[in-house]
Amino acid sequence: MTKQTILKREPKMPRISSILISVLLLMVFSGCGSKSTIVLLPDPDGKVGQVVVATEGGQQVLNQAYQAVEAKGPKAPPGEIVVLNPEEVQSIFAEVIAVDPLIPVKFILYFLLNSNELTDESQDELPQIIKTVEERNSTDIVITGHTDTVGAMEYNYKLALERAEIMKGILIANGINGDNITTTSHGEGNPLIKTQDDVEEPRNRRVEVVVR
Amino acid sequence: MNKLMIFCFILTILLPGAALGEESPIGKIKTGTGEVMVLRNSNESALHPGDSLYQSDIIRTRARSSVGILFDDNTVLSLGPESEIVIEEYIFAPQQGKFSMITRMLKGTASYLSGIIGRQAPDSVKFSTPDTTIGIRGTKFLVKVIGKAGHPPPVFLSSGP
Repeated sequence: MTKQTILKREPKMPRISSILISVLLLMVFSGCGSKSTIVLLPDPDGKVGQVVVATEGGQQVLNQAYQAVEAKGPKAPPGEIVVLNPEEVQSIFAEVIAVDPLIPVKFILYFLLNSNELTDESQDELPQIIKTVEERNSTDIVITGHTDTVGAMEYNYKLALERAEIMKGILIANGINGDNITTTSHGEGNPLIKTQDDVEEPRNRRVEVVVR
Repeated sequence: MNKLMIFCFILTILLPGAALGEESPIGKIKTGTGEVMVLRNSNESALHPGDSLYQSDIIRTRARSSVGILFDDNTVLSLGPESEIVIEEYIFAPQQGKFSMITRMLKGTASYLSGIIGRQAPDSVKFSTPDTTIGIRGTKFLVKVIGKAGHPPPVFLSSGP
């Protein structure tokens, strides 16, 4: 019995050492000093998304706030998921957290069907937009026009651009510098509510004003 | 067939814009401290808040420096000190349904918050480090990369004998 096991083991020994050597070589060539740490944070609105951290050796899915994972080199599978406390995260990432820009504020204003006239509710939102631009001293306001899917694509492209321009005019009339405003049209291509073609959808007839 | 013709028509309207897209800005520097550099067309220059970024830019922060970037689709990317990141591809053309953001982080610390590209086309967002690729489902995350042995961070060079 013992003889058998010894006999069996002996030829294995060189194999183990050769595996060790190749692992070491692999670590040298793949940059053994390299290490990435990924931490999932809650979104500004409090929701928690998901990140998939993948290497050639495997992957880990982070889907809880402050979960973190480390990957050492591109070959090895990522390590175990750990949960950091917010203070730890703050201390590791202090500088980058401090410089994080303010998140743009988005306003959505709606239009009447096949028209470039705002709905009454959206008219009422104008003062809040002006206030936000002033509070942030924003010099970067982007207005994007949208339509629903009723009508031809090229017509909707133009209608959406017209809506964006109308909105720009309203902001300028309220004292905002037009040089700081950019307008674009997404036509019917970026609906808030996805619909089939030729569907009336009031929530897609809109401009989005992003104060950046 | 009719739809195809409309599509071609739209393309002819939009293509000149798409061709320009390569040289048009993709985002802006919003915040910054210390020395932040960009390597663009083999020239290195300093970046300041208000400056525009372009596709293929390589952004580097020096010691005690940091930078906050806001991309056109509202993706927010911030870098801590001694960090380096390559914006390999950035396409934000919602009217054509084209989205792409390929970012390669070489070292340092970064904070990433998804924008419209991440929400509309999460599979077209690729964020990689020397060790991993990070797939993103509409979210915020932090990354810290300790550089490869072959690419020591500048701090090692300057603290040498």
